[in-house]
Amino acid sequence: MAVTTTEPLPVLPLAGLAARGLAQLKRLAFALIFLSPSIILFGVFIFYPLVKSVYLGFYETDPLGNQGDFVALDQYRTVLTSEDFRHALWITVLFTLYTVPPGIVLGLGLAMLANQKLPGISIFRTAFSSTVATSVAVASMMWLTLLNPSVGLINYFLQEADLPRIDWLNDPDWALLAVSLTTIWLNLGLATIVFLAGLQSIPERLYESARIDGAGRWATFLHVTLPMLSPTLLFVTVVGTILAFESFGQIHILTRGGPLDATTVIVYSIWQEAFQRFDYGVAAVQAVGLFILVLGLTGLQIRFLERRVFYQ
Amino acid sequence: MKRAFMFLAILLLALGLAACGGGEEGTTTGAEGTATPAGKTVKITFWHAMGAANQETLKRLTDQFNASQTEVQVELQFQGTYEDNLNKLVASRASGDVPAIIQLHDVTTQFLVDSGMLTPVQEFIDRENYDLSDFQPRVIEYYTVDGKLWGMPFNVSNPILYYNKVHFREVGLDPDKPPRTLEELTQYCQKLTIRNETGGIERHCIALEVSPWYIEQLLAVSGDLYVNNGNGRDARATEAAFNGPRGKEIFQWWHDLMDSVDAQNMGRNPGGDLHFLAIGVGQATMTIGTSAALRTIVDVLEAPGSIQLADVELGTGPLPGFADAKGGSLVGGAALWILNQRPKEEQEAAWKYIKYLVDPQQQAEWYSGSGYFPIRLSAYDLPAAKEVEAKYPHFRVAVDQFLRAPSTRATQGALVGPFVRVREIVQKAVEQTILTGKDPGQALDEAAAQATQEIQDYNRRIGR
Repeated sequence: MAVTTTEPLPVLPLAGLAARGLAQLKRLAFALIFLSPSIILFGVFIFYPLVKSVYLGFYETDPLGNQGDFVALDQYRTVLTSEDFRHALWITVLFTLYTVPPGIVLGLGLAMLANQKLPGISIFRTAFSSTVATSVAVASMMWLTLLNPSVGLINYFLQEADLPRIDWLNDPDWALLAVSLTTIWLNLGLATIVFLAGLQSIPERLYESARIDGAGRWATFLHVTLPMLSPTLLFVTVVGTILAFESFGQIHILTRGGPLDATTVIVYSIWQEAFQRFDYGVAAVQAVGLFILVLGLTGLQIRFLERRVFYQ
Repeated sequence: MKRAFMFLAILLLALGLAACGGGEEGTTTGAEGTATPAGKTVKITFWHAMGAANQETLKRLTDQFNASQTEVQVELQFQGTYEDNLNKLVASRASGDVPAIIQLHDVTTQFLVDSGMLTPVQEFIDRENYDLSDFQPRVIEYYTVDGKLWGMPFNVSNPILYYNKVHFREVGLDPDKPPRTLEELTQYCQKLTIRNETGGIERHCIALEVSPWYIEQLLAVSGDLYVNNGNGRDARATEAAFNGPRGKEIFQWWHDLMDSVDAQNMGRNPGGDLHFLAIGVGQATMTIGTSAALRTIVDVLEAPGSIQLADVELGTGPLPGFADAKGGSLVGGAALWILNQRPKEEQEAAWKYIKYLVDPQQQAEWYSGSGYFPIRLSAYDLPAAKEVEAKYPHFRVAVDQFLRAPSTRATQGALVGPFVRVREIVQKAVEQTILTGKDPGQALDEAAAQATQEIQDYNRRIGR
């Protein structure tokens, strides 16, 4: 932050002003040199595509993906009024609700377990956080096998327990749940690591004074751990929501958006428009919609949740 | 400070994630040493979509080709399904990073013709008077648009009925008499379905994937058109035609089959193996699937160990149709397309390789090593084909079914620009019928209206 704050400078005679301007300019140039790698990367891979998406939304696309006529806001109107888009939106919301809160609860639980000081605990810490190192494709293939209707282990165990087999990926009532299960598992590692780091940064003296005050386990958790963990909770909530909104790989591999669009989230719908129909215009409109939605939601989360965050 | 860091971290992650979407691995240009003694070696890449045993066979044939001469060296690149292949092609078009040859399926024909990305193989054929008289005429017809052969057919398959003879015997059915019509199939199902005491399904009579291909095939078998204007072959198609009485009959049949005997729904089956697996583990007795899976299936059945197989004795039969069928099965499978974005010498090299692949000898080996049947008439008399037919009579089922079919507009297959999209629509209509109990006729009519809209939209946007 030091680069951008202007430190109070000693009062100088007028002649010194030019020198001061030059010094500031030099400092700016210096800062830019250090910032340039990220500015260039962000510019090329984030900001340019963003601007281009907005631009593409104003143009029709021919079936071969070539840019067609300028249609102003027509495509925005089509997308916003289309039932499919609203359905995708609804599925996205459901998917987020199915994945984020359980992910937080489980991640926090695992982190609490891994935070015990026991011999060999690092093995568990590694195991709990291992999904961070698992790619979406690998995880999805694994779950695809586990959920396989003929040779899947999960159905095998259900059957052994005298429970009815479940058609996980081909039943519209179960498919979203199955994809959510995969996603929770996949994102659990990240949540666990972040929570563990958060737990470990809570100073021991706070627990000590809680103990002296006679607080039990639950009271300690509620009045010491949770408040101290609130910045981490905010982080995990916001990032988890963004992750959920941008999930694609597991849906593509497990269900391809089906059955009956039961798992067609917005990102999947964007992919279908862009890479199955080659309708980049409509896809761009949906992408802009997703961007605004995520931006708005993140803003809301930070605005309302941050009030409860306790920064040390 | 901590707070600022937090926001920065969130922002970075959010932006970083947003950028993760378009990760495409670069095309590797083969640096493998191909010894070039004299003359010039042209290296070309071939994007294909062959998996399992078929991939091995294609690799073997290509290795043979590469070893046989030094002028052309072909590098195979597996790109997933046909749809994946197509998506990658359109996405790579702008950068020019396309292969010399791409294997794409039957239904993309009209789209590829419209795309302007092809050098029609007709150009090479005309130039050297390449003889087509030994080719299956219907296969050539399929890929001929406006009098020009655009892609060279390579792998042709048909859907057939696969079943487990052990189960047939158990319920007293003749294991050598598979059902011939959809109606018969339903009757067989009444006998083959096994329920437990609470009425739950112990064993399904049939496992079916929600594949729009079967609808297309069944309509052709019946002798009906899929789209208007002679299936798009007399003039560009402008309307869907698949919702006639026969289309409705097929939808109703599927709906009733799910309803009455709980046929096992294998969904969209992206890996293409679920319905076969259900037979393999004894969960179901019959399935309908592509003949191109035959080599993989007989290999798995003969060398178990990777999965625990139930007691399976493989039976095969033609695709069940209708008592009053007037048509026959469609050309299924894919062709090889030469892309005009590559330099001329690469296109020439591609043509050489293609000629090799469709040679009777290679076609016979391809047949035996996959289940796709030869497109060369003389290939059937070669030892490779004779041997496999003698050992596994199953291989002959799809061939006979295909050869029986007359050549009409219905059996020549539909030409539809947005075919991939139309398939999606039909697929969804099947799902509505079998999963939500929506009236089959209504689901089909709505699908046809949507498909027509899609076709007209496509025609308008490409300016036809």
